[in-house]
Amino acid sequence: MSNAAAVSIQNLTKQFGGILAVDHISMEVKPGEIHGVIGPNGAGKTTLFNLITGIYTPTEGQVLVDGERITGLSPHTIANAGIARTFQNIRLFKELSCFENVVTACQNEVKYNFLQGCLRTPKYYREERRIQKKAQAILESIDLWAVHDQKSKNLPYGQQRKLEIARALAMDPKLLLLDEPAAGMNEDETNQLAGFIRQIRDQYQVTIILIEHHMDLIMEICDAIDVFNFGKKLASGTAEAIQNNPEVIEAYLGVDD
Amino acid sequence: MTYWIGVITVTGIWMIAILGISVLTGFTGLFSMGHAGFIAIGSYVCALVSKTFAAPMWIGIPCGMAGAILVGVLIGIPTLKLKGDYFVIATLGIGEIVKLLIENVPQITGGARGLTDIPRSTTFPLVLIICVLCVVFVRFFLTSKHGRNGIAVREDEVAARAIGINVARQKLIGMAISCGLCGLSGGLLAHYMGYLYPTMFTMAKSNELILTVILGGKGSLTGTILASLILVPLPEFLRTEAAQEWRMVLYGVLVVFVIIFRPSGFMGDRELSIKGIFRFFKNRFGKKAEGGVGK
Repeated sequence: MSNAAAVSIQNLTKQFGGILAVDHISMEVKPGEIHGVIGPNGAGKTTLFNLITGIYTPTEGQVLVDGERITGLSPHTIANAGIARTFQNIRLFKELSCFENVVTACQNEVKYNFLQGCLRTPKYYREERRIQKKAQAILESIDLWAVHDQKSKNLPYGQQRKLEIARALAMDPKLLLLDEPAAGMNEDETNQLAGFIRQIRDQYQVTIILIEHHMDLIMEICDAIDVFNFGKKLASGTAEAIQNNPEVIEAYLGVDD
Repeated sequence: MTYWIGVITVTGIWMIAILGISVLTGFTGLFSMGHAGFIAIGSYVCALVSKTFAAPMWIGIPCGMAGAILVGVLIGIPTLKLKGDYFVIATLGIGEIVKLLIENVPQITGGARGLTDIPRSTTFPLVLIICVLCVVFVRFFLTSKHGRNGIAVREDEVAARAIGINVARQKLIGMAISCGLCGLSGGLLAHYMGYLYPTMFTMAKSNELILTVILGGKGSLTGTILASLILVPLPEFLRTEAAQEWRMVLYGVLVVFVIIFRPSGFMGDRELSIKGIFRFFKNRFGKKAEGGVGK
């Protein structure tokens, strides 16, 4: 019962003044895939995420998720359609506890209305109990339950990254966009993260698009990889194909003598 | 005795408005410097309805609330899109405009001389009951999905949007609730005082209200309630000849002290709960007992 989404990006372009941050990019992501996006700084990777999640409106082109066009919808509509993301610079609800962070993210599936919430109808209690159980299950499944009542800003860096992913998972996403999840992690933590990303793909049945600079991580877990450079797509394929692509080696990995 | 009951009644009335501002500032993250304007709208609409149609208070007050919410939402739709500081400036203007409008249509509002002969039907028990209901309402709101979404907006708008919260709508909800409570407070005030004049609703009043919220702790309902219980009747305690003049200075000094010693207010963002009190005593006194048994 996979609900993982297929993503089709068609001719996507974003222009900032005279700069083409994303230049006619097309790519296909299969359902349930872990899809890597790599490229030097400024290659347009995060802009791509912002285009998918509706923070930017593309100058040209469109994004289809499961065949439906999401381009032009507002960010919260896109998020409620099951497209979750994490941020390059962690954006948690800092003053809230881990548990509250995850519970808040369940908001789309909570069905009581304003009045029912303020009057505490039985529906309120039913729904609240349900999402609290769900939040607990998510935090337990990724080993954060031990810190569930701590303020999220007080967590160590690695756990904050994990919590951000947990918050995204609480939205029952079909597509999860991870923006440099291993940034600032040491080798040990990065290795753990690889297993963790695979675990959430299998357990939560999501398609994952992953921006990363840690080549080991990308090569290890990605089913397919796209390489960006200066807003253009340089190459795409499996890890081996990318590693052996002379263009990529020249532009990104460095020329091997 | 009646004097002190009066003080408590007025405290309760202002507390309702402060609760409203707490929802907007403490739990949605928007600063407003003009909420005295919404209290003014609530009180004048309520008083005029009550006087013109000789209507009882329970008709006038909802009219006042509706007026305040309507104006608040209409103003909110364009201004809530403004980023932080600009919204503050916009509200500052709105507060002054309301005051000036009231001053300059004397045919309706009595102008600067004020509006008199409003039936004095607000009583202490009534204010007490409404106050409790408002606290319960705000508490229930904050622990519901919509309240949580507001807090998420306060914490991080971009992240709130990314988890599917309609930020603009959420801010409008915060604005509507705060204006509604301010309108309610204004209506009660009109019927308590029996007269209204525009200088009751100056920017200084707005500042006083928002300062109470900040001193209590943005994001703490308990803090808001405690702060309003202390700060609103403070001028009455300082009613000796010279002290009255120094009231705002004292406020300033208090703010400075809070900023230095408790940057997030009396209560920060913590709430007083039975569970919390229990835990506090357990940590204080239970540890020794537990330690004794355990080790």
